[in-house]
Amino acid sequence: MWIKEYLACIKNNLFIIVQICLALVLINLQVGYTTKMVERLVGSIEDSDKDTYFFQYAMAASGMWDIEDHDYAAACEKIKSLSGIEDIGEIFDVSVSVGVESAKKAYEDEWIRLNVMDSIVTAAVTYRIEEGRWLTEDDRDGEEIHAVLGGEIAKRHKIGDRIFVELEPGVSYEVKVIGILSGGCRTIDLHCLMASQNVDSFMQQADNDIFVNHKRVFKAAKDSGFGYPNAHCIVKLQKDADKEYLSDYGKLVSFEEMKQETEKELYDFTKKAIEESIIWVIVIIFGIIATSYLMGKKRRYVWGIYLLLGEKPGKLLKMHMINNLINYVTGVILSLLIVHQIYLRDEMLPAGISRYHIIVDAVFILVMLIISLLSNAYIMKLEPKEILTQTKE
Amino acid sequence: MGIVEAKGIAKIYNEGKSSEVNALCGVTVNIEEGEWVSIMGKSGSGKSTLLHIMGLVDKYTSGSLTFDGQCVDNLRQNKVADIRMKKVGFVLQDFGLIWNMSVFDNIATPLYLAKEKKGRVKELVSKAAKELEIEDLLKKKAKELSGGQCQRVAIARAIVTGPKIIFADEPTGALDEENAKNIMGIFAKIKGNGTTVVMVTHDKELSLMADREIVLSDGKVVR
Repeated sequence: MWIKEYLACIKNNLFIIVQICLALVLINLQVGYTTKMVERLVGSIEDSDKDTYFFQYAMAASGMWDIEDHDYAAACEKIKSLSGIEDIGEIFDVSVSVGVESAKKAYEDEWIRLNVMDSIVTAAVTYRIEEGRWLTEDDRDGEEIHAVLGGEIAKRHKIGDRIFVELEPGVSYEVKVIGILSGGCRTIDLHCLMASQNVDSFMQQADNDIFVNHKRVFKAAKDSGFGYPNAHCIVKLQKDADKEYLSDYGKLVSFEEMKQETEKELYDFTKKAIEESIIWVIVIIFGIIATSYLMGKKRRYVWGIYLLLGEKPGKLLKMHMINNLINYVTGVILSLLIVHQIYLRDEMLPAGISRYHIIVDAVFILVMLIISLLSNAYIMKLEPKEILTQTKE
Repeated sequence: MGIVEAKGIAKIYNEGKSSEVNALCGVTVNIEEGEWVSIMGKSGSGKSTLLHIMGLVDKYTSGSLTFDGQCVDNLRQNKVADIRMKKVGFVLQDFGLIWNMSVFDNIATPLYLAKEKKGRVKELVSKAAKELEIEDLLKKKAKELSGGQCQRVAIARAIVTGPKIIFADEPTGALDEENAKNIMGIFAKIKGNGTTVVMVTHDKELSLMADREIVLSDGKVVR
């Protein structure tokens, strides 16, 4: 019977589906954008060392104005001499050739970055890993050189794969893959400028990166003089370091502060997105209530006939709610299909529908059902005698 | 024992307000099973109100009503709806059809609501349509029918569940004389099958076709 009732109001039902679909496309796009930001920014860092900081040294203030450009070693010595600094973490990034059988059979026309780190940088932050594990102090020694892959190259290899990395002509290393970074993971970038204190300012998307901390590779990279950072460095502070004093010499930001700042920014962003979505939900609620009211007014005559013929008001309401549920579920499915198509056309957007979309849409259906129930509660009060005093539909 | 026994039924509209109307004042009537009763009276005499109360579609202010041996005074709405579905058929002056539906679906509506199986629905609708001689109209939409055809469809819908009693509220009010007589013939046939018929009319001539007349005036039974 509910199918007949649904088809009898098909125009109104289609109108409701279109309203829901349009509103949910906008809401789902917001959800996708927000979750992608959350995963990309906050989700990049699993854990961090509390005593390790980013340090953007102010050359003049620290008395380093006399240091020659790119004299990284001299700058490091100056920083190390500051009270409270235990040590400086070093990371070198080198463009390398990579191959499966040998480094000579390299991935053609691809820029692959080898990030070689010391103990401080390796322990400074543990990235979000999709498979395997992040590097530890144990990986610095030993026969095998262990590597973690991120970005495009990570899609071509799995844990246990062995690949060849050529640091410079004639110098290549066989490395074993022990970890794969999660998609969209951001990693430390010492070249960027600190625009603000969030993850976006200190970290960059892992595009085609190999991470290694083995001593042999580290020494070779350092000796080659590749990839000296020029904007800031990573410092390990002593437990009793006076941060205020060090702030006179440059900007000091911990990974924890960075994460907190990012979370705060994301919270503000999400809050705004939710506020905008709520406006859409309110608009859609009014639209649906108005459509339901008009539909109810139109169907009242028929409902009166049903009641006269012995239908119970509760069953009539149930029939109406099933119709609403069909509309809401159809609207949600259509909107998700549209959003999925939009995602496929833009690489900057999320890869697909996530569980957050499903949760938000499920909550939407629940809220709409409650509102439908409340706005259609009058059906329970309809009496069969109404049909006897009404004119034709 | 009658199928409907109304004792001292009173109905007051807008009770306690300045617009208060005493539609029925202590009406006592008894409808016997298999009887064809017509309720007569002028406009505003309370005849339709009495029909609605006996047909369990309206409430009464005071008095007592027994339907098929069951007192319905304090019965819950859902129970009353059950009785209407199983034992009562209605025929209305303006037919009460669903105009965008086919004749078949209109007649089948009470069966759909009662969740009858598809085969059974088809069987019962065919039987009712045959009885009302409207088999050739089953595929048409209700809005395509003439007044006389509409009332036949409405009667078919009223009898399709095999009710014990049919309440007809001015069933010929919207019809011409010829169609009105045809409809009365149908009621006679229904009565002949053992179904009780209670009919409101203001037409003296049609009223006389019933077994018995109840005449109302100012909310009271005068004959």
